[in-house]
Amino acid sequence: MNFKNALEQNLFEAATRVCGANASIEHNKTIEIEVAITREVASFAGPPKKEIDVITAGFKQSPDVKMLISSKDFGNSKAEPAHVQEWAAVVKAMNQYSGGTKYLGLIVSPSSFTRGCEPWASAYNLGLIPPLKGKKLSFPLNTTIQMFERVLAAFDKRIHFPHEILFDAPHFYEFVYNITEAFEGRDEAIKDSGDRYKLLPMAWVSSFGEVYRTLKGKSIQDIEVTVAKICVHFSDDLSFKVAGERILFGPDGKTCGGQAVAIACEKNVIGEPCSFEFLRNLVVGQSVTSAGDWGHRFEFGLTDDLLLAIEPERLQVYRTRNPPDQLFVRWL
Amino acid sequence: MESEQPILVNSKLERIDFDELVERCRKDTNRILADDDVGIVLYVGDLDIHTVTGVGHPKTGDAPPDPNGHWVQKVNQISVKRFGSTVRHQIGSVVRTLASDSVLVLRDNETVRKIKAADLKPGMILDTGEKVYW
Repeated sequence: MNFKNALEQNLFEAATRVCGANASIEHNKTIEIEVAITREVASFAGPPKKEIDVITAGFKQSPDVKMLISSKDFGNSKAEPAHVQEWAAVVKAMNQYSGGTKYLGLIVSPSSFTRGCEPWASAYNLGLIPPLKGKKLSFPLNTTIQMFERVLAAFDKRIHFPHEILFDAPHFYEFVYNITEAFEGRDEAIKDSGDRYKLLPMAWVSSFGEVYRTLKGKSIQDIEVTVAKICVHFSDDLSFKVAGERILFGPDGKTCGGQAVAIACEKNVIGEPCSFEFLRNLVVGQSVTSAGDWGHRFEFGLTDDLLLAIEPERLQVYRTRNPPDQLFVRWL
Repeated sequence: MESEQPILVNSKLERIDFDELVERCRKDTNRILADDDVGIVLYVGDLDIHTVTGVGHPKTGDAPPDPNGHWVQKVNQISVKRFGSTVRHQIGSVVRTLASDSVLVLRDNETVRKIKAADLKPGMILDTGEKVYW
């Protein structure tokens, strides 16, 4: 199969992942406009006929509903209202000659859209990816493809329920907006903390805040150290694993994987050597009350005024006390 | 997730626990429109789920019939983000937790314009007629 550019190929592959054989692509498809004097077709090069490239997504649940996807690869330039108007006319024409099939339109432009596109898109009920928010935004190609796939997958489920309203403007426009607008926060989290936090079992990108929210109040059941990672098992089948610079956490049973190995263990704030069993006996049964991440060292504040520090090659435990001049109790 | 959970009620104004609602929706996987590293989106259009809005009617801006009351709006879809900071504002008589990048529509004399929740300032009037107090 030939594709005009990488964007088109990526979109078609994403559509195939969601819709299977119900996804198709056509180049230079000729559509005919019945009335060539309506203002939406003003941007057509040669009314009443026009050649278009279109990716069509069909859905097994509702064979009479299809999404017409326009791929706009303009490099660094944004899509303009004329492109939205053009696609509005295409979708309108396809609906006029469909013989029962209902079409919804979606425009994907990774370099984003100019502000004037939004009123046209909402008035003609076209989805825009990426979404236009309160400020100008553009997204990397892979994020745009993820947005597109999320929209298709969500729509595939949404049509199991009454969905006639989605054909009335601007409900489909808003549906696409609601499914895609949260990507901005995720991309900013990746920018802030890189790949450090992963939420199990799917290894989703996560954040320090989510680590704490997940493990706050959970009690330590066990600690394991293997060649691959350090695993702290918590109540409710939650785990916290340190593998080099990466932290994996979440519901993941009690597996750690790999051969058990010894690790350097220290007690007290000055870091005196201690046995793994000594450290383990102190922290097992204690619950998380606070947490801190110093980049190379993750610390859990625990009940009984304990602090457990985890580094890729070292574990440390000490007891904290107030006031500051009596801060640390020393074990002998 | 907790910090961004919406306040939900049923038509009898009984509070609905969001986590229980998610578990209920998981029994019919089609209700989970999305559940990934971005967040979770639920379809609840037929589950008698409502949310309490501010003083003004969500569309007209009209005050509720009861002077101390609020409008209750039916919810079709709930989207909870896993990322994105939140901001708290008193809008009308309700203190709301909003994602900082939520887009709101302001009334600006005879025109309207969009603004992100993080940029809301005291004294601004939303298109619903509700005033931002802080």
